[in-house]
Amino acid sequence: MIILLSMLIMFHALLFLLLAMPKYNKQISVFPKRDKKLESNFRHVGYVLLVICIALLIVDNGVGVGIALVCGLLTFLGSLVSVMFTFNQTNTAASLIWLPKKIFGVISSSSAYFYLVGYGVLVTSFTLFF
Amino acid sequence: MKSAFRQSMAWLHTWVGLLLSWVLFFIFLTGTVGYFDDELDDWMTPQTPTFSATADDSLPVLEQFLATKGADLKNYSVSFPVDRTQPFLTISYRDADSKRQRIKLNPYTGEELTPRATAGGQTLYRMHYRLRYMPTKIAYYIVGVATMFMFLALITGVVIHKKIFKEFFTFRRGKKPTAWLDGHNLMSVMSLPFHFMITFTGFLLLLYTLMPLIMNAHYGEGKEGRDAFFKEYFSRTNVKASGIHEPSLELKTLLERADAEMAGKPLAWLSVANVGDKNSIFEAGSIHKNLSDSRDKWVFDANNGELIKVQIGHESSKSFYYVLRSLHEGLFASTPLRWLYFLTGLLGTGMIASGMVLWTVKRRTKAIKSGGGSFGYRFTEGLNLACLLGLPAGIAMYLIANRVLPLELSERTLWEVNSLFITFSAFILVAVAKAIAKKADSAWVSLTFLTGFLYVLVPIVNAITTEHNLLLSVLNQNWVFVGVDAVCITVAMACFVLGNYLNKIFNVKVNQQEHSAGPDFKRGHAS
Amino acid sequence: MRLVFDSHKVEVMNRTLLAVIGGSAFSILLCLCVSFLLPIEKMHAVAWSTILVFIVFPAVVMWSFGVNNLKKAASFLSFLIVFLGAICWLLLDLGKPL
Repeated sequence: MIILLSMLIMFHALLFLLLAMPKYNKQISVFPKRDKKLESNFRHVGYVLLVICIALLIVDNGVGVGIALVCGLLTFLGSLVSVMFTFNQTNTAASLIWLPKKIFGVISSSSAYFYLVGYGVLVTSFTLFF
Repeated sequence: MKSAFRQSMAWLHTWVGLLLSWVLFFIFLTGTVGYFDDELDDWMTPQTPTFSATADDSLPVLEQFLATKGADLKNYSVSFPVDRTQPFLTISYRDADSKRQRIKLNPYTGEELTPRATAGGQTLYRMHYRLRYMPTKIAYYIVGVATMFMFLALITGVVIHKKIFKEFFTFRRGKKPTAWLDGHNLMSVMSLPFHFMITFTGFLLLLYTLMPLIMNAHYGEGKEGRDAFFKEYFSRTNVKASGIHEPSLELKTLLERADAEMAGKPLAWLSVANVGDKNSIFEAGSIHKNLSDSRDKWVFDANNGELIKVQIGHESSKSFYYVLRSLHEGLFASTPLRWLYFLTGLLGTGMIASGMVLWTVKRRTKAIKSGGGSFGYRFTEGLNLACLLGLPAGIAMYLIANRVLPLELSERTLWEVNSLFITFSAFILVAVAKAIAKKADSAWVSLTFLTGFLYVLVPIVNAITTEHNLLLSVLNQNWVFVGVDAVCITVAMACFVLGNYLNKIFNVKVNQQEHSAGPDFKRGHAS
Repeated sequence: MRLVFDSHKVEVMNRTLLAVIGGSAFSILLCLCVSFLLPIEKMHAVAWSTILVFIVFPAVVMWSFGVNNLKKAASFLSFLIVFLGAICWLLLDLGKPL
């Protein structure tokens, strides 16, 4: 279970990092362009989420197995994100931005914080219950 | 523009990557397949089922076997079928002539199992570091040099990309050679942590073979120095029989003692030395589940069941060594993690393949302009093509040979491996000949389709020659057979898709060439 | 690193020689010295310094291809090798029973 959660967090973390770059986010119509603050926001949240899922994997599986999982999943999910984004930019980005857009109406830093809080809650409840 | 240092690192990266790319492709592909070596062993002995039985389940059979052997058996070791690496109840001992014997038994009925003679997944995996048709020592040096080249390629690759994070996700589809470069970068960057780990840990596995000098400087020259170091470092001590007779405890009691000390871990293997002697020793160990427990064992005095010592984990450099070794070999990995290792290995193989293709694609327009390219270019392209398609085709032929070669054929295992290399050589001959004759494009298409055809053949031959065809295997939940068939079909489909794609783009090129104006006007292609 | 076309191949060969021969000599000698000087158990010192060789060697290879002035680099490395060689010889001698 924890592995699936970590994979989801890693997937979104990589998407955050991807959309933080103007080269890629300009291909998404609903994404506000040339907003440096938003981009750095997305970048930071991406890194934080990456750290969270790596820590989750290591704590849950032990250092060694955790490292092996991180290496493998990063390779696999990173390749998946890149290929998916190449074939269909809008839908791939939508897997990240659809929910905050529905809730907030517009993509802003709140989208990033939404995920941060959301995953924080999920991770804490998982660790408390399992 | 790039600084001079980064420019020189880019140059080093290209050459270090290209020169040994064929060897590295071989190493990577056989290693990736090797993660499923035990599963392939199972597939290649289809008439012999695998078992799953704990030590307690197998005890009656074991005791009966020991009883038949009688008092001759002074030293023996047993491994129980509790793990993917141990499919049978295996007993190793020395017979009356002091020759090593290993017997495989059905743990429930005691019947002796005789799997067909096959090279199995093990040989495929061993070629990963021993290569083939050469003395082991030479193979170790070649693999060691290749590893060093790859390590250099990785480091220079990172140095080249100052904007490494920006390039994380770059993948511009369609436009070549940019698409090839992006594909190469993508697969490389995402798998960097994995590759640094695999390459460096690969070094460690060959450490004292490649670099024995420091060890010899401290422990003495040559073999004695080496033996002295290994004896101290890997603490191999054998307790000799004292000659004084003292009865050893029954196996059942010893197993109970082991269970008590091992705190719930399943017993995977045991070994007994000097039965009936004062110095009789009983050792037991469990399954390899995490990175540091590969050498864990519990050592008992077999006369009174007392725990002599517990060896769990290691100190200092040994811990570092075993953890990294486990990371490379992945023996500890559960099935999902093992699939992840396999996929990541495939991506690494893809990285090497894309690098090889990138080198020729980048020089393709210049080559076409100059009427086919220099001999070096054509030869490289031919060799690329031969390697990238020939080795996978060879592996498919290896699997087919296992099913098709007659069981009574002497040297059957050798011929299975030979069939891999015969196919590989055939591909090399055809590919290089066609490339030199400037017909590389048609060779790409036809050989890709041929490889796809061979992979489709594997499940078909399997269905004809055994009863484990895909449908029955799914019904019986025999996942090893399902897995191998499924992977073969997937690879075949990928080959057909690739073949179609190559056919399309090469035909477009041919048409463009035909439509270009005038015989003297050699137009380069906007690839 | 200006690669003049004529002497390109010579340059490549020289740098390769420096990298491989100089690099191996340097990394082995350096790690040999380290193995004598590490204040830990002998077998672990041997293990760690052998592992260190595979980190030092690639660094030296990269340095020999990236450095600007090849002649200066070669003489510098040779000096280091001789110096380290002397130290290793001393340490080996000290280690031998009198």
